[in-house]
Amino acid sequence: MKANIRSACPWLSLLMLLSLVLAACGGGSGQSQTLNVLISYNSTYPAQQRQWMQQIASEFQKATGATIAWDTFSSSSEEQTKLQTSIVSGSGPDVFSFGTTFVPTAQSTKGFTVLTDQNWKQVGGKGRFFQQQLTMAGSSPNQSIAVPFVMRPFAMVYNKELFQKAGITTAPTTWTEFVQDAQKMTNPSAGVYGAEIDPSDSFDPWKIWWMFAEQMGGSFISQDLKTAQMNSPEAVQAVKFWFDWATTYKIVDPNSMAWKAGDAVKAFANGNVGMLIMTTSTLKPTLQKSSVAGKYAFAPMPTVPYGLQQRPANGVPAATIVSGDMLAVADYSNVKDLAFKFINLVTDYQHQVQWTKTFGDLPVNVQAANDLASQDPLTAAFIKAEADATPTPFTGEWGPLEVALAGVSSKLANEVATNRYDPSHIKPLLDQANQQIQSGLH
Amino acid sequence: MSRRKRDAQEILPTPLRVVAIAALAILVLIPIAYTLLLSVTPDIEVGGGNLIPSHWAFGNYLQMWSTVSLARGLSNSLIIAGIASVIAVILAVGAAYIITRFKFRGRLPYLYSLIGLQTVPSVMLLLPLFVLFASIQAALHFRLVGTYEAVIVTYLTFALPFATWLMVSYLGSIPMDLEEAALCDGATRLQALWRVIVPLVLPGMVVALVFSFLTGWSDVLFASVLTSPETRTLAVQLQAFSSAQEGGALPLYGQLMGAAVVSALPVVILYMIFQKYLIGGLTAGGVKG
Amino acid sequence: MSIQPIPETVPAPTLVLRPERGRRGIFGGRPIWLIWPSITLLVVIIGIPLLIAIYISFLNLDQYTLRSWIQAPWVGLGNYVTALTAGNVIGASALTSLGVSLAFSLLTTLIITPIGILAALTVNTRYRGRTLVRTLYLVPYVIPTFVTALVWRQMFLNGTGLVDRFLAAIHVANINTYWLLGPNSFWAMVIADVWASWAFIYIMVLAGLQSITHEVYEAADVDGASSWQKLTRIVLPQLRHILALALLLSTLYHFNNFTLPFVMFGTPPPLQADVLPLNIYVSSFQLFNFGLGGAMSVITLIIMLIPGFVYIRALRLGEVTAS
Repeated sequence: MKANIRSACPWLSLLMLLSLVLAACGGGSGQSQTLNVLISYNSTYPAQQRQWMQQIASEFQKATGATIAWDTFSSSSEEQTKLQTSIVSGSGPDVFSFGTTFVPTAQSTKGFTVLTDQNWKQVGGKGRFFQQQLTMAGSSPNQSIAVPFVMRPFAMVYNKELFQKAGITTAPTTWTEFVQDAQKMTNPSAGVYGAEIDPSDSFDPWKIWWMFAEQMGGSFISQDLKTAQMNSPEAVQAVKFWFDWATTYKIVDPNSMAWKAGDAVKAFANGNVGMLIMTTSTLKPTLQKSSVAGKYAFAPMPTVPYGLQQRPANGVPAATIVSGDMLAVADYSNVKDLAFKFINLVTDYQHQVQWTKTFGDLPVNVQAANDLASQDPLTAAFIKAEADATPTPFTGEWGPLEVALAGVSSKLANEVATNRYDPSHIKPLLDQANQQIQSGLH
Repeated sequence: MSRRKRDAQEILPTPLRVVAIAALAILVLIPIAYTLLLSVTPDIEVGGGNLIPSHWAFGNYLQMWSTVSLARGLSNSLIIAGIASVIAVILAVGAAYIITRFKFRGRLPYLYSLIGLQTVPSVMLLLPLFVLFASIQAALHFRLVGTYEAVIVTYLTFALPFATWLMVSYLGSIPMDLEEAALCDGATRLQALWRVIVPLVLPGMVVALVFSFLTGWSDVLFASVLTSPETRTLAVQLQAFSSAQEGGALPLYGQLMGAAVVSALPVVILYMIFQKYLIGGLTAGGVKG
Repeated sequence: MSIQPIPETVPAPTLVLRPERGRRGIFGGRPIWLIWPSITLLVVIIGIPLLIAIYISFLNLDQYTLRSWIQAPWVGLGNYVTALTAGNVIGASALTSLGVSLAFSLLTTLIITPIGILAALTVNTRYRGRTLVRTLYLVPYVIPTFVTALVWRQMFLNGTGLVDRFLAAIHVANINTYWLLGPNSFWAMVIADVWASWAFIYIMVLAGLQSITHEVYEAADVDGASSWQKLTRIVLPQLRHILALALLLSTLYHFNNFTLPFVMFGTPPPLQADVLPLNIYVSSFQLFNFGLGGAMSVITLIIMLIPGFVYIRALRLGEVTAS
């Protein structure tokens, strides 16, 4: 502290300036180009992910001479923030990976390159990709900004042991059966419940309500994308049905109002939940390490609304949303060719099969999907589920819509937790959400 | 007579002191003990029905180093927070010296701004700051975002108002006589500052150092957009442990708690090293009369 | 026998500045340049972004206009009106959030002050193990906020968390009391933040205590002062300035605390814990309504400047220096 820092200030400023300059010279234009790629961090297989990144980087360098600078995000809000800062400042990653439901909002920023026919050829042609995934590639087939990367259809996972104990032989195919099965498995004194609910999660609630509503023939946004219909009778019924699990049918843990998806998974993994909905095959490694290892199985979620024998005429068998990750190229990027080459690399047959075998997500490469389906019935089931997947409305307001519905869920959960819940509170909240989203629809 | 004289400085009678320390210690230790317990609990059982895990997962402490590049995050955080805090304190002392010793135009607004700037919610500045950096980057053609320098400068500036204000308080309480004595002895202003003033405000400087360090150590928001994987700080990396994959991966709470323990250690150690500078105070001597 | 209160050694006397003796070159004259780096940094890193943010608050900046933000449509005070009047389904309206934030920051500061002072007093004298105690006190403060929030979230989980187990064990509350939802969420936030930040007051007071020399205490002893009198007549008056600073900064810091509620509750947060920074974050980064977020930030700023000015006026700091 008493060192000779006598005239430190001007020298310090000079030093800072010098180091800035050095950094500039050092990190400035090198001979080889760099492609900046942003993908989601895989917390289940971190070491494998690092390995994969290294391998892809070296293959890419051999093929194009350019290096890849990887970056990862650990949550969707982190990615969203990175995306926003990049778009507003015009600099950031060249290739973004985001979930299918985020593509509409990303497209609405007009910050991503629309793929021309030439571009599609560069990434292997549209025929290479799973048809359903392409429905979420852009607002229309020739206004696409995203290329499918991996698929993750949603399904239900159930505890075989609990099923056996309750005398249930097959997974439910209607929501009526679901509730009945859950009631058979529920044993509050043992802390076991037939189902689970995670109303404090940011994503599960809207997905579940959307599924219920679609099956009943309702939709959150009109076909022409101009009208918000989040307060339609089907939507209200969807929300009511879900919270009925806690208040009327009592098939979920009464303590679960504060649960997020991870808490529900934990409860299932500890053998306290009979059926866990809205999960993907990425759950497998976690379950394998838990007390329910070997005692679980996947099944598609029921597609017939509660109380009905079959879907109404305009009901859609929405077993899952079109789900997975897509890759998009930022418009400000000045290495777009490299970006498309990269996308081509990671979506070809060999790399897609490798990805599935390593990380568990399903391939979007049709050839790979078919081959893997023929080898493993579980994979086949998932792929079939995704083939029946229903795309979510392609509107720039979808991102805020998700947040709005998460808010509704949180408020209702708040009420249930404090014993102030009443089903009549649902419509006003949905009305408010509807108004908010409507004001953003152009 | 060697009767043990009660220390004049003792405000609290010993029994009260012991009770207070015990109470505070318990309050402090319970969550820490819980953190330690969770750090050796398998991830699945965290927050589950049982307090004591079914088996001790000491492996968490080994695995966390490879789940994220924890070692790199640790060293990045130390470098970034360390440099930012040291520079912040140096600049703060300089600025405070000028404010308390000289009159100049804009002195009052500057003082007011030191308080005012601390009221700014940092969420507000995130997007604009990024825009600023990106503009500078584009205009001057050198890389800014993702370098150490950008993050250090950001944290250093965020810590500056508080550090400066602190030093203004300390320097304001030092009589001019000491400097004047040095000046009369032929020292320059700067020599007077560094030789006479600084040793006296060392406790204040240490306090400012600790706070400035913590500003950079625990920030998540700015680090998440301003760092690249090479410069990623610990705070952002800890988020990766609790990231839940869409559709089912479990947050790695056990490893997270282990990483938390490891991330708290350096600062505690640093404080233990520097805390002896807090002892003392205005030394007797100086100017008499 | 009465005690003479020691005259404060941190006065706010009138200013007596030395008349300049003419320039003697950069090292002999006024080294005003010492302040330039600070000013430059503050202007560039905080000042300019602040102006940009204020400008944004007058725009309708959403996902459609984000790309060329400078050309986003001007809405004047529209965002401010929305912020102050409209409730929204995500969380609370800005006014409600403001109330929550104020209550939170004032309450937390109020609680941590006596704790911090008490803690500083317990280490004011030398005894074996003091270093250990001093280190222990600092641990909650140096643990990153993110971690504190997560630990306390686990502790507040209803049914399985430590807090509920403890309360049920001493028969004060139901084991299934919700802390992360409902009215208790506010208190959960307060408790967690109190635990994490009382060391701030402790450090400030400790540093302030160092400026009271041993002779002062001994003189008081000679005068026959009791501990209580020492506390109220010597220590507390001496600490006035640093305490005032600490209280102000603590209030400001807790008001702007984003990380703790964000990690403890996630988004969207329960109504009762929807503090303003969280509301701003959700509006800006999740609802893509940057203009509204900017307006709420500016409102926050203006309101927080009030205690700042009160503080400055109260200490007549325009005249701060030693005589």
